[in-house]
Amino acid sequence: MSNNFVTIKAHDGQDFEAYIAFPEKTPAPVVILIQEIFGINHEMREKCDAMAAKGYIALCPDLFWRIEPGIHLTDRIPEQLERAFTLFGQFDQEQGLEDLRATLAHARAMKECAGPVTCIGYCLGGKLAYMMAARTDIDATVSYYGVGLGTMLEEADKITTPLLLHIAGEDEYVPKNEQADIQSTMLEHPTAELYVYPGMSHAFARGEGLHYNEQAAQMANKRTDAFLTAALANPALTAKNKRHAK
Amino acid sequence: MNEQTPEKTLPALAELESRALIQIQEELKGNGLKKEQIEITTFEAQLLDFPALITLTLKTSHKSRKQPGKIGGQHVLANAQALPAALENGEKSALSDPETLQRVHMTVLQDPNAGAGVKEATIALPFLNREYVYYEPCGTCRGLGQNVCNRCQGKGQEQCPRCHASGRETCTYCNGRQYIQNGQNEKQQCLTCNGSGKTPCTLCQQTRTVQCPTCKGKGKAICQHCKGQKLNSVITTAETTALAVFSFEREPLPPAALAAIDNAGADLKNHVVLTPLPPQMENEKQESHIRFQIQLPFADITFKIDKQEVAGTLFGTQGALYNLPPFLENAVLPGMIALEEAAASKSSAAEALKRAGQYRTLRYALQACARWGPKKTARALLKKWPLGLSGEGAEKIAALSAAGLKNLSHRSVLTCRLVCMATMAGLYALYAYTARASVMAMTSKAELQIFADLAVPTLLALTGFYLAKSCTRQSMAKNLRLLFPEKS
Repeated sequence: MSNNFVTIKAHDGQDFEAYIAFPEKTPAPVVILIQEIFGINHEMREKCDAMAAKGYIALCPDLFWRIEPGIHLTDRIPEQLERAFTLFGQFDQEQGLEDLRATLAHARAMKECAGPVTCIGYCLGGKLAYMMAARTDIDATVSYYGVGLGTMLEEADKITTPLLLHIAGEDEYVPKNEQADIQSTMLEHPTAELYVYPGMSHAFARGEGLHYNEQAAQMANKRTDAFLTAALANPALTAKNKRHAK
Repeated sequence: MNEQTPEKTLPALAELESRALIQIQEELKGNGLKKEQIEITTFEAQLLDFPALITLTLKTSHKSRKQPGKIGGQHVLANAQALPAALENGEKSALSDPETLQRVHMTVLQDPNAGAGVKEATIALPFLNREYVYYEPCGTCRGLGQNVCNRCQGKGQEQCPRCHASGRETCTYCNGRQYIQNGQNEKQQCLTCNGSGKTPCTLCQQTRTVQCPTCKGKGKAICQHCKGQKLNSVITTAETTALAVFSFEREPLPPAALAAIDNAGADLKNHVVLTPLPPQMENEKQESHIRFQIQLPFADITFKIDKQEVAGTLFGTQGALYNLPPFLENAVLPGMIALEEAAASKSSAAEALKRAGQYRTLRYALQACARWGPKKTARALLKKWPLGLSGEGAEKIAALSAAGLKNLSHRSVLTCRLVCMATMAGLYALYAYTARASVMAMTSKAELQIFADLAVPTLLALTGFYLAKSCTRQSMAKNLRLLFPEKS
């Protein structure tokens, strides 16, 4: 396994960086990991390295680069947590989505890319992952405790590729009524899969985080692995789902 | 108490006598007797005036539930030992407070299932329900309000999640690769980590542990059960009911009056004048009494109906009559003989029924029988003529009426039955030759096919039966209209 930073060309011609981790063997399928509000920190790098160990090319773009490149923070230190929320307030999600489109194009153009490109988003990235599923042709999407999904449920009809949602039952940033709306919409959805983790706080799968719960995190990660394996093993699934949505 | 007996006045005995006569006259109206042929020969009346009471025994049932934390309540007790005394005092105070006692009495008397005449009734007294609360130390934290932190097991610190207690983290400059590429695109040892790929952990500052985020380093966390209040609440809800028992001194009253009172049951209050007596305080026992004076008119009464003497009992302020022999059956005896004749012979049925129909009661029985059949007719007769008919007499009239009607309409009944049977047979034949094959094709299961083969004829037979019954009744009613054109 090897890792490094690569440069990606944004839609407006500027360059930004992404952390990339390669598996032992290439070509391999690419998975884009979408950051939380803490930048490409240790947590995201470890997640990328872990995905590479599982045989994926893991690509994690720096989405805060337009505000300040190279952010890496933790919620363990109060000052850094405050800084993370400030950055989140300044972040333009539509621009972020454009950078993710550029990352997707970059991934598909890589000579090591085996074909399907998927994405996994956490927290802020969870919402951006949902936007990727609704507004791009990404092959499969996983969202961990995405915040603000309730405001985008009308876009669910546009999602035609496999989507996996992990919902924290006691998410401080997603009220119960919003959770209920998400559940009722997604349980009806032909390509979506949804799991709720009762009693779990937001970011229960953030290994370095305050609310990390090993048992729930392992369960969610196993489900993600199985979901990606199924989605990649059956490329026809994507096409089938697209037809179904029509 | 006033609502129970709204200003009821005692009627004069002479008025009750005249009411009794009117009742008998109404009962016999249209049954071959004139008003002048009915008179009262003896009327021995007395006004029974006796005390009665309702004994109320208060009973309290209670159930307890536990609730985490210290909550307020209606009555806060010092501890669990104080609960039995509090429950007992609750009952006693209800009986010792005049206002509460009056409210209890009002509730009992306004209850439709309690009051004078009802032997025993349990009445809910929701305004006496109470809630007691006492506190006990929280069992989870043993009254300390806090527990050892589950996350760090009381240490206040946990292993650094970044360096996993190694004190060193992956170099963010070379990403652990130990080298970087210089401007000439050549590999060069990373200057940040000096080629080790690791740098001192910036999260724990090489202490290898970080503060536990749950207890913030204290090692103890607020007890989640009592929310740090150290106590839990035991809430006891006490519900009080009153057992109301009606009683009076039986000995001075005549046996016939006692039997009538017992027979009246809860209806007694509609036949008597109740005068409430002032309540008395009875603090020693958990018992209270609602006392009143009862005035009840009562008379032995004998009527002369034609030449027949009929003796009975008059009871209460409405002049209700009891214990009368079935005098109406004697009055309509010639009509009953005619009914028997109609029931026995088809040829003379019409003429015999015409004679029976001269009596209002028997005419009603014939019309009711044509519509409802004999069982319902017997019940209707007893409801319409409750004084002069016995149960057996009503059943006999209904049965004879049914038989007489059958003989009157035997031809049309036979025609109805034949037509219905033929129609149903035709329908079955039509089904067998047209639809049956399609029904059988709908299932390959033999059981379902047998079921369909049995169900269709059964359904048709039942339809035919009810159709024939309906036709028969309509035909009987039509024949009766021909017999009694002017009397409905």
